[in-house]
Amino acid sequence: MQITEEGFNEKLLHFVIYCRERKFIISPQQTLAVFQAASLGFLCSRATFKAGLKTILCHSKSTAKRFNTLFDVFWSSAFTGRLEEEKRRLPPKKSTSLKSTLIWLGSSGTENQNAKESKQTKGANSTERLMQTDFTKIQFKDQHRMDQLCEALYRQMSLRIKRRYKASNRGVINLKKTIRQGISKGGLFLKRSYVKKKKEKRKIVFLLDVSGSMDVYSFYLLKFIITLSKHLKHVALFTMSTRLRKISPIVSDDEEQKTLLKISQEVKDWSGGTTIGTVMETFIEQYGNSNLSQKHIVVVMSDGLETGNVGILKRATQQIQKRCKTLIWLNPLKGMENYQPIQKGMLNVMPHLDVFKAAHNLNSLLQLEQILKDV
Amino acid sequence: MQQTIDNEISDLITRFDQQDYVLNHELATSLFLFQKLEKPLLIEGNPGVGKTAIASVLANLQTTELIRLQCYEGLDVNAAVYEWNYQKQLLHIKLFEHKAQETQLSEKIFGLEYLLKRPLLQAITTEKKVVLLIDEIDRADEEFEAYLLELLSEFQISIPEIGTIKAHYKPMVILTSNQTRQLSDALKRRCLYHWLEFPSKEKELRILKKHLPTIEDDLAHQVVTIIQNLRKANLQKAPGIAETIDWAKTLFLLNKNQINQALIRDTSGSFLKNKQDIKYLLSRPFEEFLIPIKN
Repeated sequence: MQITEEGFNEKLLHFVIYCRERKFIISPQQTLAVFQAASLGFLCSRATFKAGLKTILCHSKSTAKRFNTLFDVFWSSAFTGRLEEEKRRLPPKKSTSLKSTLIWLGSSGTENQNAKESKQTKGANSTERLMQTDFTKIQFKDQHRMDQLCEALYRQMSLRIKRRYKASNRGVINLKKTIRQGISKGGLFLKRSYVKKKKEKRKIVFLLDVSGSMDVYSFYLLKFIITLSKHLKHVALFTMSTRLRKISPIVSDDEEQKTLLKISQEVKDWSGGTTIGTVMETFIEQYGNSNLSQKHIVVVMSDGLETGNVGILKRATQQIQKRCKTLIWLNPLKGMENYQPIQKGMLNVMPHLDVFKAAHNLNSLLQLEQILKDV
Repeated sequence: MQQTIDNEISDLITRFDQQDYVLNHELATSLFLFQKLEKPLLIEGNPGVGKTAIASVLANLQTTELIRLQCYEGLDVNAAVYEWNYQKQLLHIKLFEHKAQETQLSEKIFGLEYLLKRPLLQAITTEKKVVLLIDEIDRADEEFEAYLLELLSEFQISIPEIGTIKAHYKPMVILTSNQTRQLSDALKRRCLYHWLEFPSKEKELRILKKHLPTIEDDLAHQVVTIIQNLRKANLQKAPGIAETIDWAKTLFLLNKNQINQALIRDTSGSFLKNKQDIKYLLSRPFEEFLIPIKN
């Protein structure tokens, strides 16, 4: 079949729209570049045409990987506009994050006794209510909304942390600027300019407990860390169970669902047992040199229910606190009413912590902004 | 016309091949479009896949200059774009303070001759088309990334005291990133994009042969298979192409034709740069890494 140029241009434009509908960020300039490339004569060789469009329309590793499938689907003879139209008419597909949430939470997806408690959590509206609800009490029907809310709020928080700057009139005299300003005043330095050393950004290390007792919380805490990692440069993430696992390289993938899937494949003993002390000792031994210094803030996310030797846990916490700038312990159980850190584990680590906070709901995580603003 | 384009792309592959850089069709198409559309090219990929080398090979092929800006945290306009030559300005003021009027003086001392050109300004004021490599852009701060937008879209730089300097010859701008952080959409929108994967086994063998033409086939196969298997092993730092070449060179210099456990132990430092990774490698029988993998 001979494709007329007009028909082809129209289809090319449809392809750009098709990609844009699938979360490709395509500017008018890029669309223009597509047509420029087409006018160079990329039409008939499929491989060259595909590679050309790919380099213009893709903007990340994940889009580059998705592009091949999109291209094949769109430009295959099986593709019909009608089919697409039909797909568009269908109700939007439920986010896959719901499925993964279920995997992580181990929930059956039915109403349970938590539902009652969740409904009882007071708030001005549903968002307010969800922000105050304990992660373990989130109902099945609220999970999708909760995922969206987490993503939006964590993202806002990361951006706020990143953009916070402080103006200052003090510091060392900026000789260059002062001289430059003095030139227009006949060489008299009437106005002095100051320069202040840029505040060194801290690096943050997360040690996330993924044992059975932390099961529900681990998922939401992990999402929190993934979002932070996307926006902040120096974030390292380790999971603690019966062994230590560095998963920061996995987290750098820009698609959250893929990241979660990879982590689930990587961390085999998720929801298993834990020996926090031994794992923290391994962390000091193996990663201490590069992850413990006065530039580092270490955040341990654990309920502190130690099954191993408490002495080792105490010693490891003490060492970490000595070697890092700030040691923060986030304990989801602290959000419970009448909670007292009287378990052996917590009792031993408490004297060595700089900050001890709750991490049981969205609000408590968002309060971390003040602590993390130095990161 | 189509024949011409395919020929041009094949020609580009051949010319890169002559410079010991093995291009695949997809990357060659990206480079072809990069030259035709005169848009910056952003290349992302793991460390050691050959991103930076593309720029130097391209500069060689175009017989032009390669201007490189290595990005780092804290990189600012003074180090990347321009800086006023304050000593020269002060000297001028002292020499002419009684002879010239204030306006004449400031007009004079804020001229181009008092400007110290840094890589970006140098690239757009050169009297020929140059290759500008902005290496590891992900290491620079977001503020600097934002500053680059004007250069990448308009090929111009604004200097408050002088005005806007537009490029006479658009430089061929290549940006590389190791994906340690996400770059802004604004920057990505202005660039063509290519994700550079680790090479397939066949491609890596060709690369190795290019750099070590006298290496025995059997040894080259073993080296590449082990490296390819290690890349799948989720190490802290997967070995790149440079490490493959280094290791092969090491074995070649040691005059070894067959890899064994002891040899791996003694030479592991040439392709693994992390204590944990070496520990992992040595804890397993080396035969495990010689199992051919499917790409």
